[in-house]
Amino acid sequence: MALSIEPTLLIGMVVGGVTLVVLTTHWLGGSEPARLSDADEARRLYLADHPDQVPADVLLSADGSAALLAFDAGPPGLVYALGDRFVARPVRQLRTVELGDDHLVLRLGDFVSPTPVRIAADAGALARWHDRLRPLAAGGA
Amino acid sequence: MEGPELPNVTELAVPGFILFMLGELAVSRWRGQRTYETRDTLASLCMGAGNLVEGVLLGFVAFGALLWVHQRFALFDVGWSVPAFALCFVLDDLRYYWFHRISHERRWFWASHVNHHSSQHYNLSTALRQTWSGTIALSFLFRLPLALLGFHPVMLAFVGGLNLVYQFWIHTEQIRRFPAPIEYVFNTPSHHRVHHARNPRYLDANYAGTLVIWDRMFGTFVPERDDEPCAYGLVKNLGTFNPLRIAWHEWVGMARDVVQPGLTPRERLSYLFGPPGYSHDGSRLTTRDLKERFVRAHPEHAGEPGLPPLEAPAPERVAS
Repeated sequence: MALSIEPTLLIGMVVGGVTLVVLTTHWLGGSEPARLSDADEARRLYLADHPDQVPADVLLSADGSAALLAFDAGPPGLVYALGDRFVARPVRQLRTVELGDDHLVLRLGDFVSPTPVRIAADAGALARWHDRLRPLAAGGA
Repeated sequence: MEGPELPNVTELAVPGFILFMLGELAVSRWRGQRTYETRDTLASLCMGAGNLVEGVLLGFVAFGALLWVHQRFALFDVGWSVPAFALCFVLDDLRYYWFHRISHERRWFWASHVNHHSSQHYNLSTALRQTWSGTIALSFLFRLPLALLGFHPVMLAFVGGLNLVYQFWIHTEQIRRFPAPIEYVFNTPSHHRVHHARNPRYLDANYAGTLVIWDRMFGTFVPERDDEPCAYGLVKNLGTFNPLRIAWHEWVGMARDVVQPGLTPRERLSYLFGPPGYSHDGSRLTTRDLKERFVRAHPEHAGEPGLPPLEAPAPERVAS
């Protein structure tokens, strides 16, 4: 049999070590979220994953946390911040899309993207995008 | 055959893991780099802790199976000498190469391994983003030939642990390259950065554990290029830091694919054992598709390491 560390000591080391490393990461600025600087950055990030498409229209969230991209053909695209990096997705299906006074909230029907994405912009652009996205939502017309 | 007591090297290395991560955090901060993200790090370390728990809860399954095979069917008595350990380490490293390669090329094993590649960061905490489903995927079957040859499961566990600990320190961007002879023989941070990269030219390359000679021998070696920095993560990056979703997402996706109506038995099997990215309707892209798409868009890179040649135009059919 193998020589192992006493279980309670191992658990203590793991819990203590995880806590220490995570707190140090936070203390050193590791919780600062990524932000899109402009629509071109959103385009560049999306095209890196989906190079066959050419975005025709981009809606950048006022806080730079996300952007929606429209194409001449095919489903719209979404780029959003996850920690200090970004995730890019074609939006083929939505669980819900909610329109507020100054924001749009998208819930993706995707096991690996469970967090709602909030996009803040002017009311006119949001209404336009809401109309575009509503048919993709479950039960959407 | 009873053997000596050997240390559980993975457990013993835990304090070292913590100290080296703190050291890497300090160095990267000193260099003005942002290589760690709080929730990403927490997710990676939770995956590592979960892997330890999986070992405690299910490790006996793999160990029992290997012991049963070894005690009944071992062809040789390899013993416990130093040369036996050395031979076991090298052969286990070869075993690791093929296991790792198949873990990237076949979805069943990819479902277990994908979580290790799911971070968009590449640092020492990424090394600990380990699977929770290795036993379920039956990964231990890859060790059966060595148990059958005559290597005791305790020795296999020991050298496997050494290999895993070796691979910890190569998950870093803080070391550029070593002198050429070292880079030629050993798996290094440079080689392993390529392995974790999602750039088309770097996909499915550098499967080595300790010795990179296996990649050179079997044609999967791709060198890191200074003009193409590694972009880390998955072809389709995850939008979550939830360890449960990270651990099980590919199993969930695979199950959904397999049970969808209207498929032939062959298509269902292909969703289980075909390459990641397989789809019965061609709606998804495999690694091969991604590399070919890249070469079509950048023909000047065709045929470089990691990239296929440009496809020759289909020959015209001549009526006979």
